[in-house]
Amino acid sequence: MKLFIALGAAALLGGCMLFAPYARLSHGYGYTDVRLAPDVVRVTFLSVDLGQAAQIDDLVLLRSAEVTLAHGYRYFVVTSEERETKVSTYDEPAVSTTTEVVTRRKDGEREAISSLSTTPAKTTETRHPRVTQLIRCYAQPPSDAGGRVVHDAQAIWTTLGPRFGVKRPPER
Amino acid sequence: MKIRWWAGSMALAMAMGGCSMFSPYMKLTSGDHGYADSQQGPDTFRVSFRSADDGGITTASDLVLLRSAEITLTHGFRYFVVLDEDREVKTRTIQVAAQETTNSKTEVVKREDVGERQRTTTTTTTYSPAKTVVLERPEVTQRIRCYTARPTDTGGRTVYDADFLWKEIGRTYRVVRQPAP
Repeated sequence: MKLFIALGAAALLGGCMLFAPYARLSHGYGYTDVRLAPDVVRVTFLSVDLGQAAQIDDLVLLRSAEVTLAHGYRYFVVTSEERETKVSTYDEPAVSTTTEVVTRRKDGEREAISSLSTTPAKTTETRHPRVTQLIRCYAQPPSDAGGRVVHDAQAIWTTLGPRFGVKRPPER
Repeated sequence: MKIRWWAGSMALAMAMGGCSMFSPYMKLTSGDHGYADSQQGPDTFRVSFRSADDGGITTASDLVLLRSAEITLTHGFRYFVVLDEDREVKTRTIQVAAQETTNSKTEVVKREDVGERQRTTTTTTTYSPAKTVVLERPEVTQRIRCYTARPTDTGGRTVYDADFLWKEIGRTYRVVRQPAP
């Protein structure tokens, strides 16, 4: 019982990071953003590349749409974007196990069987892509966005949100 | 006992939550992370932030702006412009020695019915080779110029409202105090 309560508290404070692909930054994964002006926000998504590299583009766009809506705007333009991928490694040690079974029978006979199993050391590489977008938000579609794409935040939120299991209303 | 259990639960929760209740915004003291700044003129300052948390360069970029806003406000200004910005990643290496651990377990089973005695010995050796761990500390340095009124010509540079940034970024990074020099 106590374990369940402890895990429940941990999941709440940890933002259920273990299961949701779209979550606030924790342990090097998720989104983080900061408002630099009433209509300018810097949005970052840090991911772990598990063979689904394209996901991060959708996830950062989803967060940009969410902050746009959460601040009372409807449209946004990505004014600049920055990408970076870091590589981390995880080392697994070599393990060798020797098992020796000695059996002594009633008649005094002795039998020994020995076996050896080994697992070599292994280094696993993981890629951590990061995308940072600087966005400008608008209540109405801007007439001149300098040739940049004007995103409809509402359309992105309702299209991409369910794909990543997001069912809540937009929040800051 | 109840207190110990509660403390354990909180420790687990904090570990899973990434200790999110502590702000990474602090003065650089021991050389690991934090902000540092110097005044270069009546209205110009050099501000830097070195980050050591999960956010890396993102945290450094946000918190150097927060410190710039704080400096602007504590010197009686309201707005600032970033004249130039420099980003670098400082690294620190740690040598980890090779490690070998051997554990041995022996189990004896006597089977009285058939008069047999069996001894099983399992020896497990775990070996991690020596390695060099590189710790990265991204650092962003800005040179800023401060203004009391919003400047009209800044050569296309963004004019930041220090009061706005102090509240916004401060809220994001859980900085609850008043601006201080």
